[in-house]
Amino acid sequence: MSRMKTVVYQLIAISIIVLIVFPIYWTVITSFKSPRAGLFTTEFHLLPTNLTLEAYQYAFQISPIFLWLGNSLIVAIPTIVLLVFLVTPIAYALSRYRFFGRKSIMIMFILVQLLPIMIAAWPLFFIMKELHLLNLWGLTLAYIAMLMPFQIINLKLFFDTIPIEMDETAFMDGASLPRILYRIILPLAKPGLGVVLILGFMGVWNEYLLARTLLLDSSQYTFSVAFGELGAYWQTPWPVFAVYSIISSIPLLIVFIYAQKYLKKGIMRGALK
Amino acid sequence: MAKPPFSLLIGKTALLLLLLPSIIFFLFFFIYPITQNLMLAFTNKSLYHYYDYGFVGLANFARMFSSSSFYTVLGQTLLWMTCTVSLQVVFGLSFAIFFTSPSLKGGNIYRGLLLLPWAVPNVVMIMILKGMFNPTFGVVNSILGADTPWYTSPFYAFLMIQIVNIWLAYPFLTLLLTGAIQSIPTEIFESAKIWGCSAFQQLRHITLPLVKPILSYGLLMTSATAFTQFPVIWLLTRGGPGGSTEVLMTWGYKEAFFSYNYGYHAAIAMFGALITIIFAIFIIKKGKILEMAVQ
Repeated sequence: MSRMKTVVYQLIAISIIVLIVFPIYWTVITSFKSPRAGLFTTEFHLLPTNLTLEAYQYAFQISPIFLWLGNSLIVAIPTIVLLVFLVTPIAYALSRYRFFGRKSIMIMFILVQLLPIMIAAWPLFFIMKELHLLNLWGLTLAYIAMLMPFQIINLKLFFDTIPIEMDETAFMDGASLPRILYRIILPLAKPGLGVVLILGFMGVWNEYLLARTLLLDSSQYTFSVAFGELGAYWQTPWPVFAVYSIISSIPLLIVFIYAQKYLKKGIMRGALK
Repeated sequence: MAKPPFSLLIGKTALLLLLLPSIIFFLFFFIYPITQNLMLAFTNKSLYHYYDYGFVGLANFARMFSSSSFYTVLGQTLLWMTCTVSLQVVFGLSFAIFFTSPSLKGGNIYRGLLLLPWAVPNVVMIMILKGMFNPTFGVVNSILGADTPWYTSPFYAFLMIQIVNIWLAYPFLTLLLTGAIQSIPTEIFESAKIWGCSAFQQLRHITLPLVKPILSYGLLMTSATAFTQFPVIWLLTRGGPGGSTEVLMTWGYKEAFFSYNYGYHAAIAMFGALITIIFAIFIIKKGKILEMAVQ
């Protein structure tokens, strides 16, 4: 009886996972098809026939995929680095100090996370236009502001778990504030910092609306925008499109594999506590 | 905290130095644009009044509330939100319960695989799924062996955006609820078993009541996100066919992006934001989570 139950459970679990993984599997398979035959073939084979690397050759030689990916990285890396520098001090202050307006600041940071980003998109367009920043740098600034609220609360909750005696002892020993913060507290808050970096990166990698609004020149498109444009017209052979998808997923996949343990523990803390 | 507060040890200047850089940055690149939007909503800024725009009072809002398509779009937004949130709860909850069940061997590995949709960039996945649903060369139709008009029939287009959004969105509730279920002490289930509770009774009287606070938090978050959903619908259908999948945000975006009616767009975006603020008030009322974060 219980053996039967185990088998049934496994079967259900496997079929759910198969359904979930199927689009990813299909993309990988498609990327090995020939781009010349691919676009309009309708027959369905679960296992691929006639594997070729033509689509990869095509994508590596003449497509701008690396330009788009490069643009995305040019935005993502400064965003997460600056984010850490901007978020750490205020999260530390919110965790350690009791001052007037502290609660209101935190409630504001929690609530603004719910606002649709669209409410800021066009005003940001006009502001960045005035500043001559309708480019990747302007987008970076907008992303930092967009990601700040969640990350401040998230990191504050991590700092809360570090006993305040740590700071006090260090202070009595004559350590300066920057030293306490960067040498003692931050190393202890590594998981929290990990979440800032990972979710910051994922946030930038997934964002579409702001990038679509703020980037005018197609040579500046991040791959999110470029993908949206490609998919609107279907002029790209489907296998090549699959190759693009795979290449642009690799950075996120690396971050994701590294992030798994944090995702399971860390976000829970940030989102739930 | 009963101890002497740390803030007594370090002066006010240090506190300001810690707070000011981020606060100033945030005010300038987040709060200022939102106040700008608030102002724009009361002006007639558009392509024809790009520099010489002026205050028009409530005209944009009057135009919105008197437009018949506003009510259609609002109804469609609510329908979209209700469907996707219910589906997310059904999938999120049943995945969380099933994959934490002690009868399932290797649950840990499965739970890792369940998060895979988060490892692929959103836009990429939306476009891939859109291609898979393509009526002429898509794999979905060749598996079904049918000519389902996914792009051109309002019903199937709605079904498509629901399926795609479930695929993208279920990991959030699954992860949230998995954490909640795992934090229930196993002794409770063991003693329930000894007292002869069936699996269903355990679910109904132990698991569900204990995850309820987190579920209601997740419900509000997913509802707010669904109400202001933009990229999924925009990239899949652009609100079509025939405006049948138009939601508030795609409708509003078109006003700015295609018609250059920035003032009117700002009013629509404001309305969307106001609704999310109502969700936010509910979250405050639910209290617990916010209280604990703010303490």
